[in-house]
Formats: sequence, structure tokens, C-alpha cells
Amino acid sequence: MAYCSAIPSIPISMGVPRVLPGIAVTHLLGNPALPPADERELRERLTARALAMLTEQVAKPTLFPSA
Amino acid sequence: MAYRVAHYLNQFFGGIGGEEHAGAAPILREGPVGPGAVLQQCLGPAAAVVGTVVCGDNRMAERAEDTLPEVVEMIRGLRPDLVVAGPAFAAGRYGLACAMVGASVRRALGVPVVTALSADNPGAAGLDPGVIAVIAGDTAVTARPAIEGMARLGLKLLRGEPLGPADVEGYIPTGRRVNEFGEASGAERMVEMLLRRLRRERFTSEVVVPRFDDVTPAPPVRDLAETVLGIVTTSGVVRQGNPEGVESWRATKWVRYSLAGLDRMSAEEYTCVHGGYDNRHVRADPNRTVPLDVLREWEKRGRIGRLHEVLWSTVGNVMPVEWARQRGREVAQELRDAGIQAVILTAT
Repeated sequence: MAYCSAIPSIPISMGVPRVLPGIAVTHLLGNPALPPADERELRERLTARALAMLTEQVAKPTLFPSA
Repeated sequence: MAYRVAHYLNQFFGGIGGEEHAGAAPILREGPVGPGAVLQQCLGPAAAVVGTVVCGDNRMAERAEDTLPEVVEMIRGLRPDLVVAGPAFAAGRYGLACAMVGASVRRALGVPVVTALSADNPGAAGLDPGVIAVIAGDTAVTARPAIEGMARLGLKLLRGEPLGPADVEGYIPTGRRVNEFGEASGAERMVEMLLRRLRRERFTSEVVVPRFDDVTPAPPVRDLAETVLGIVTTSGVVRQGNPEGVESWRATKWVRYSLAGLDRMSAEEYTCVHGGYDNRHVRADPNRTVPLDVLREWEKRGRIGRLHEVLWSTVGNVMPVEWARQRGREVAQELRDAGIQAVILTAT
């Protein structure tokens, strides 16, 4: 499981193995301030990170870099 | 007039027999049976054990769907003011049976229910908060104090007297909090607790910190192009109009939506009811927490094997850890049953 959270310290403290920081609580995988094409690109980047996390071996709760 | 008490026992304590009779169908006996005699003694003249329902543990475990209603109807027939189940000590099936009978009686009859379980009895986990469970020892050697505890708390409930805190009264915490005035202010109590800690003395936290699990990380996915991926969210995305009535906080349910044929989460079809954050950006574009637009494209391009057609969604706002644990398990089982090999979970 790839767990995306805007407050990653919560899932890390709860023992979630693979955690990805999102952009913000109110727009986790997006940013309304960006033009639509740029926002889409941002979401693709984050989603790609989430998928990449799934392919990595982890031994303990691990915070992956979002970029 | 004395209060009427109905008692629930398993086949062993009810005098039918041991394991070989664990499949026994429920039967109704008049008056107290087995440990019911001690219960009657502890209750005194204020309450009378008017009848006892005895049922095999396996029968209840394996056929709860028809056995439980049968037991509840027998209990209803006794017109009880209080229902007592057990004590079940550390016996797993018996404890679960007492917990199930207790919860069903609470729902169907609304009368108080008292049972007695050891603290680690499986029946104690996820116990209906309306069922009061005296903390019993592991075996029947501890029957007397357990039954005394059930009688004492049962009489209190019958008389409408408030129960004291769980650790004082000796029952399994129900999660219920009661406001009361303390002698000292929070600041004073906090400093006192700190000093005790510094002096290495015993202290009791006023807030019980939930215990989290040690989660064994799943092995990595080998090949995303061969993987069935599921999407789960606690961000509160629901169908427009919220037809399933998902609560905006302390949500009691998960919803499952078919994503079949959808290329993205449209704001016309989906909205957000999470009450813990300003959700207008998600309402305007639900892909911001459910990245279906990206994942669908990648599925078409073969970057992921298949996106499972179901979206699991709930509101993760002020959800008690115990609820989250229980429902999380249920959803995890569903994901497994659906053949999903990896999951993206978005939590705000």
C-alpha cells in the first residue's frame, strides 16, 4: 500500500510502511493555484512516486520524498 | 417486586455437557442454572433469576444468524429487566457468544446487559459499548468474584445508578467519557504528573493513548504492468447527494463505487463530505484525492496491469482508532478477495 497524506507524521507514527507526502490537506494530489495542465503534471508526478514506492523494499515506516 | 433477570450460559456451565455437546441448540430453563445459583445469591432479594438460556458454543459460533435471534426471543419471553451472560473467563467462543448475545439484546430489548470476560478474551475486542463486561480471571476458579461483580454492577444498572470509572468498578473500558470536576486545575495536575515522572514514581495518564499496531510491510510489487491496483480513500469523496449518508465525521461506513467506464472523477457525479478540512478544492475536482484521471491513462498505456473497478471511500475524520482498525480489516479483506495486489490510499 502506498499511503499519501498531507500530514505524513501521522501515518508514520501509526506504523504505516510506505508514506508519500501530499501537497496539502485541502488538495492532496493537486494544486488549484496552477493552470490545469501544470496541475495534471503535478498529479502525474505524485502518482508516479506512489507507484514507485510500491516497488521498493521497506523494513519500517518509511517517508518517501515527494519529488 | 423484584427485578427480573435472564441468564445466558453455554452448554458446559448450563449442565448439558462438554465439547461433545458444543453443537447444542438453545434451550430455556426455568430459574437459575449452574453458576446462576451463585448469581442469585449475590443479587439477593432485589432481583430474581427467572430463567436461563443455555446454548452450545459451536452452535452460536457457526450458526449465529439463526441461533442469535432464537436466543434473543427466548430472553424476550422472560421479560427481563437485566440480562446477565457468562462469566466466560478466557473461553474464546463463549466470550464471543456472550458479547453477541449482549449486543443483540441491547438492540432488541434495550435492557442493561452485564457479562464477565478476561481482558484478553476475543469477545472483549470490539465489545458493544452498551454491554458492561466485568473483568474476570482466566478460569472458573475466579467465578465467585466475577459473578459478584456482575451482580453488583447489574443492580446498579437496574436502579439507574451511574457506574464509576472502569478501573474503579472493574469493568472493561467502554470508551465513554464523563465530565467531572477535579480538585486541582489541569495545570496543577500536569505539573504533579511531571514531578512524579521525574521522581520515577507511578503516575496515571488522564488520556489513554491508543496503542497502534506494528505493521509488517508488504513485499514490494515486482512488476506494475502485471499488477491489479486498487484505490482507497479516506478523503470523503462520495456520490453527488451522498445517497449512502456517509457522515462528515466519525463515519460509520465505507462506500464502494464502480469506476468502470470512467476516465476521471467528475465533479458532476462526485462530491466531498469530509467535515475536517475545507473540501471545496476536492468538490471542484475529486481527482485531487482520487487520481483516476492519471491512473486510467496509465492503465491504457500498460504502465499498470489493471485498475480495479471499485473505489473504496470513507471519511477519516475524528474516527476512533478502534473503529478504524475494525473496518480497516474488513476493507483489507475485501481488497484481498477482489484479487487486488497493491493499493494507493489517499488520506487528507
